[in-house]
Amino acid sequence: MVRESLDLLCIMLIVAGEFILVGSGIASGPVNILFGVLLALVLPGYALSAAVFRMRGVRTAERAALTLGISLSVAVLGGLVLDALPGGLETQTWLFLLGGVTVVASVITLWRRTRHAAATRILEPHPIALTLSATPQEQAPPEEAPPEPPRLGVNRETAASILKMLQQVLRRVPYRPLLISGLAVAVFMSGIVIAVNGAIAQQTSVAVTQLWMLPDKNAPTTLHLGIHTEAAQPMEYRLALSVNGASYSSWNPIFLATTDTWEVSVTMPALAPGDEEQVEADLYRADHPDTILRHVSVTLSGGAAPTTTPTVTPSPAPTKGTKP
Amino acid sequence: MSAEAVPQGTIEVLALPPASIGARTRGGGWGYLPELSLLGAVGLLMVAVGYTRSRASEGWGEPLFWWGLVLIFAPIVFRLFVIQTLDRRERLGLLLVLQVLLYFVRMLQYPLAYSSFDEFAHWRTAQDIAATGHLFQDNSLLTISPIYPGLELVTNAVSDLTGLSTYLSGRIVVGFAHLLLALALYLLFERVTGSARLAGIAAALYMTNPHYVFFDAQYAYESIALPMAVFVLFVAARAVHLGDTLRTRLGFIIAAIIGVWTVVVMHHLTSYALMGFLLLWMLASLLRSRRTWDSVSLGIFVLLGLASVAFWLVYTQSRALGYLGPVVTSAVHQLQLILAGEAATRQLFHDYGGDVTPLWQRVMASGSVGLILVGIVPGLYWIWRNRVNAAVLALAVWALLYIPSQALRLSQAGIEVADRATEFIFLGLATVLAISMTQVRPNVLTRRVAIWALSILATVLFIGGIVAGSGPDWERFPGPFLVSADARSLTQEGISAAEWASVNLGPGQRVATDRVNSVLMATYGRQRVITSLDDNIDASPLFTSLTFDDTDLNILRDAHIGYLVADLRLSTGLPRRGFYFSEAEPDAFFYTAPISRAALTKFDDLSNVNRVFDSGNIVIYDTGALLNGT
Repeated sequence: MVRESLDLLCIMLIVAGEFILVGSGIASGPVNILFGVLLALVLPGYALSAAVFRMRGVRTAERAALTLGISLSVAVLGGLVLDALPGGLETQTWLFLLGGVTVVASVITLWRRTRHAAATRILEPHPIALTLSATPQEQAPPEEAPPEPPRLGVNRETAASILKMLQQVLRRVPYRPLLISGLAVAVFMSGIVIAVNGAIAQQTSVAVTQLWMLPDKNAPTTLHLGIHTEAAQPMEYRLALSVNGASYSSWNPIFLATTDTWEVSVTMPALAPGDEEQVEADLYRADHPDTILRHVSVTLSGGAAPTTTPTVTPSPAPTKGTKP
Repeated sequence: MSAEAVPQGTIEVLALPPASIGARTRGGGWGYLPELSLLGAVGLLMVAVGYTRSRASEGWGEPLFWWGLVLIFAPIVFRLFVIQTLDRRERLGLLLVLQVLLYFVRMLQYPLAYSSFDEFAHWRTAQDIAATGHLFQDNSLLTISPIYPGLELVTNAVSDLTGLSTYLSGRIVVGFAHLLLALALYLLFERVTGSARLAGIAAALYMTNPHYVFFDAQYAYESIALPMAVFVLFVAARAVHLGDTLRTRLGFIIAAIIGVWTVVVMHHLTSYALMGFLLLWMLASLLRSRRTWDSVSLGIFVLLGLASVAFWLVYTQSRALGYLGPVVTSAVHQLQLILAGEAATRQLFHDYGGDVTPLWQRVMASGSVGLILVGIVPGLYWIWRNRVNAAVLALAVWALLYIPSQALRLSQAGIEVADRATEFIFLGLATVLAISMTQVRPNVLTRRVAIWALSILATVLFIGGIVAGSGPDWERFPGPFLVSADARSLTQEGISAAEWASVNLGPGQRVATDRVNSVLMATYGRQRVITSLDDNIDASPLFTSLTFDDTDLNILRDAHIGYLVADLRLSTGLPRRGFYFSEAEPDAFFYTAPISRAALTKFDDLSNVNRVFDSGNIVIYDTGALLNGT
């Protein structure tokens, strides 16, 4: 019975494992991924189909289809139920739904199998031992004694026996199909690696340089400027700030690593109500000092709190590799 | 399982060729599965190298891709044709290997992130579910997506339980769905035809449908609904099988009903097609079957299915009808105009950027349609002359829908309907074609030359289907930037700009931009993009008019647009897709010159519009001051 229900035991262990992994807050890892995928896409369908159908009535391929199809149904229809509940669609609610369905269905299957096994035992014919011979049972000739197992211990007999067993096992291994299948998997994986590397190379082949300037939502005279680069090599830049066409401030040099961000906040003098000024920022690359690489502009309007002197505050967080 | 083991019972077993050639059982029933898997893997490797070379604009990447596909498909199909006594394990194994390889052909095209418009639209829905923990959030990219959340629900479950990203979880979900599709296809065909061999061939022929490799493998609701629908058909076929015990039959009936409900929540069109086919099957059953059990069982599925479709329509305020209705009526109307000679047909094999499909591809695509139209005739005749069961009869009638669906391809609006209908109609076509190939002249299959010929024809169907279903070369092959070419217009610059918007502008800002940047801003940027689908406002004049006038101002104010994202690369070429923003823009499909750069940068001269972001090609303008009336 235990051997027949080994599948259910494994299912229970996986569900318990997933509960422990999620409960302990372990982030994504190989075991978590395996258990999670199984719990979402395989186990509910397997357990439910095992509870509903008898093993003999459904063939392996059909059972596989039922496993996948019913698992998808449980996730979709169960998800609708979870959405209607206050908890919504969260890790814990999914775990309780899918784990609960799987465990309940497994218990039903176990109960059915136990009942079926008991019924089969009752119906099994038990042969009655009749002795037609006049010879008493005790005097019957003793059966030929089974061959003695090799004695344990390091000796030639044991080694030969193990060698023989190994030979038998190795003889049964289908080397050629295994080798070819392994080769197929290796070639398959090579294809994936080549395609992924090609995509990464293309993605990183073109440099990205961003320049931005945003007025602060709470302090309208404060401007947040930033540069972000994604390039193949580090680069040196110059940033120039002008107000109504007149040079106001500049930062030179700005060194940015291959993937880097540089930010600064500038508080401008307050304007009188009704006044406007055009603040522009131009970014230059050190190797092309006369060509504007990026350009942004913001119009500031009067009415904001007055400030007498401009304040430059480099933001502390994302300025690694920066020399403002 | 012994060779050629087939389900017995209610279904008439079709004729089989009397003898097999070269029949071999080896490898413990797995036959040539390892060898053919290796060949297929080499084919996939060629496809991967082909993609990589295409990225670098090297011409030899394309032939490598096509020959890789041939290497994946042809040997497996040949094996499925050649051996009548093939072990069921090998047959199923071959189909599953073929399925996995074809799924990776699509995945390796853009392996790092989603790439098509539909994928981004569904990704946004999945992101919303993950962020809020609840369904039915608004999605302006595809308003219908949140109300058919089956795919996103399963993705959310996998993502939550594994800790994987929504992207990887989505890929896993669609991959598993495709395994189900391969299994369900085989089991359905085996069940309804009673022949394991015919089932294997029909399942492989189904994979030649134009949408199978690329469209049906993307992260979209149809990609999961279709496998589920085929699963329902298999389970329904099993439920009407009287050879089983009552408990088993009841089990299959329950599974079919739950499956129908699931399909209803997954995808509108698939659920309607499923209902249509079940209805047809029930009618065929009333006509053909001597048993009332078949018709009653199918009747239960149809009634419950129709009730659940109606319930979901009411629950979602019939938004699916509002979404699908205009597409279908427009397609039919355009076809009527074409038939009346009042409108020109769509120019086939040309894209809107001026590229013409290579001759060999045109021959393959046309050849595959021709082969199907010619190939179904013997099968239909055989079905007409023989007393087949109700399911095969229904599939044959279903296959006939292929003819009107192809006529719809002549109109611009009809191509959408024709494309979507293909994967459903191919269930019937694959059955009829497989019957044509194996039943009409069974003895022919004892000759090796005939098997070679059939394998080549099936490969032509496969390659022709991919040409017809995956668009022009630029859509199939990754490579350098192209204007308004969906995946080919996605660049790191656009993704970074969207990520910048998410961090610096905050999510949920109302943003107007072109089609490609819309999907990036909606997903990576988490912005609320303005679309003609959801907002009933065409924002394209903001980017196409040379001067900023009252019309532009009214658009800005009506749509409450806070930010404009101008991609200056739009001025460098004609839109490959026929439009820059949406099909609703005035010059859609009729552009003769690119948008002027001056039109895209006219906001630089407006004093109350801030140019807050510049990454070279992409500029973001803050139009908040204009909304306030200043």
